[in-house]
Amino acid sequence: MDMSAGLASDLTRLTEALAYPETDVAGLVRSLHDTLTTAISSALGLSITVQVGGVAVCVSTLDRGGPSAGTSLEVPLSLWSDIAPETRVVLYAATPGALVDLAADLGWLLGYEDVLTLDAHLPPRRADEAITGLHELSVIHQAFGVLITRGRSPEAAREELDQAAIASETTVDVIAERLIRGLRPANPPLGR
Amino acid sequence: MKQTPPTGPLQRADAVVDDLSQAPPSVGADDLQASLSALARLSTGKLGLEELLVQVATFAVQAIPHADGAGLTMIEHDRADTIVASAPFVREIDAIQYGIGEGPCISAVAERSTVRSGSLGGEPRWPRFGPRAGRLGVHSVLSLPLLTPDGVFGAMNVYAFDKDAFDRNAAHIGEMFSIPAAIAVQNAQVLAQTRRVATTLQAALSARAVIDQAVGILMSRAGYSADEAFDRLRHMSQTQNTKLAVVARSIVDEAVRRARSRHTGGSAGA
Repeated sequence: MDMSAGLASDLTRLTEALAYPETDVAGLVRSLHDTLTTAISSALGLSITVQVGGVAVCVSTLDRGGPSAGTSLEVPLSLWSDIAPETRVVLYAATPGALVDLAADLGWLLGYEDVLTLDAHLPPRRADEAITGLHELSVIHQAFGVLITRGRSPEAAREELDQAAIASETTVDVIAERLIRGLRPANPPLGR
Repeated sequence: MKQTPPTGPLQRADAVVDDLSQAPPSVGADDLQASLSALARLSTGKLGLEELLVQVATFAVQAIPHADGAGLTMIEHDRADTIVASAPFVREIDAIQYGIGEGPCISAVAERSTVRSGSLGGEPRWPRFGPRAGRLGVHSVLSLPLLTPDGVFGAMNVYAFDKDAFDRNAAHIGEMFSIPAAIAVQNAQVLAQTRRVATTLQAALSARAVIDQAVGILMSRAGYSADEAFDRLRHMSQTQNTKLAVVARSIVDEAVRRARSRHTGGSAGA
């Protein structure tokens, strides 16, 4: 797999965040992509969405300039207790119908064939960022840090941002971004 | 949105069983049927990848006449990666061939075809591996590549202590077994890797969230930009020889302790 420079850079930063250095997030993602493309000859890649504190972070290995996806398969991963609810992977292939057998096999292996969905994610979402949701996650937690230094507990900081978002009819990350910008104009948030 | 049709490994394995029932009775056909049915019932939901591979190897021993042990090897980046065995002697034999880079599994993967020998001790194809296997009392081998339409991703090695244990019928049965086995193994590999990526991302993003909180604390206290605050954290991590996540956690914990001990407040500014 030829990983884009942006994706490789973001995944390297995520590896850096881990307390166990033997794990290479980029290597794991690349390996999964390669296994998928070996199993399915027209496979294009995958996206994996993980929920962290109410923010959906999506890592995609799809080549933005590559061929169009003709089929998709969503696999929820909630069967495993060590994975947060709402975590899911979507596999993509160029040839329509190419994922039908895999869907049946994975459904059988996981024991929930009735919840695997084909072709519900077409066309795949094309984002400007290598990992969507990462900036929002960063800025929200930076705002938590700011509010903690102002005397809030982490729970109170979350509540305050949530309430401000409701009052302004906007999202928590927008409120968080305003707070961060108010500290020092034009300072770029982490990861941008 | 379409729901998936009911055509999984069970159906494909059963199709092989149906083919067998149409054919004249042969040695091992009943064992193959039983093993294919067991293979089709494997569920990754309850088994990890390694356990599932051990089960597949065990079913191979049951399916193939005269087999005493079997192992499965997954190839990743052109090298043997996950290796499992149905019996300790198989692990020993496979360790020899991967250690010296010569043997029936390596040949089966390279040639993408079944490799068979009934006299390993004097086998000219593997002059270093063969005698060592023979000295361990293992004289016959059947190596079956695990194939996809685009290539080979592993191999199944079946061993016997007797000489000339595997005839053409055994090789044929092994090949019939290896087709659904390859599918089951590869699907399990997709799921196992997906699970590992998901759990690792979850852990990394959670750790990253704490780092961002520490960044926010440093921005608020010292007037750093986000990048300056991150660089400061990284510098602390390096000078203290402590992981970034640990340094960040200690800053956040200390700030939370301070926050809990005072009752002043600002506002989110919204």
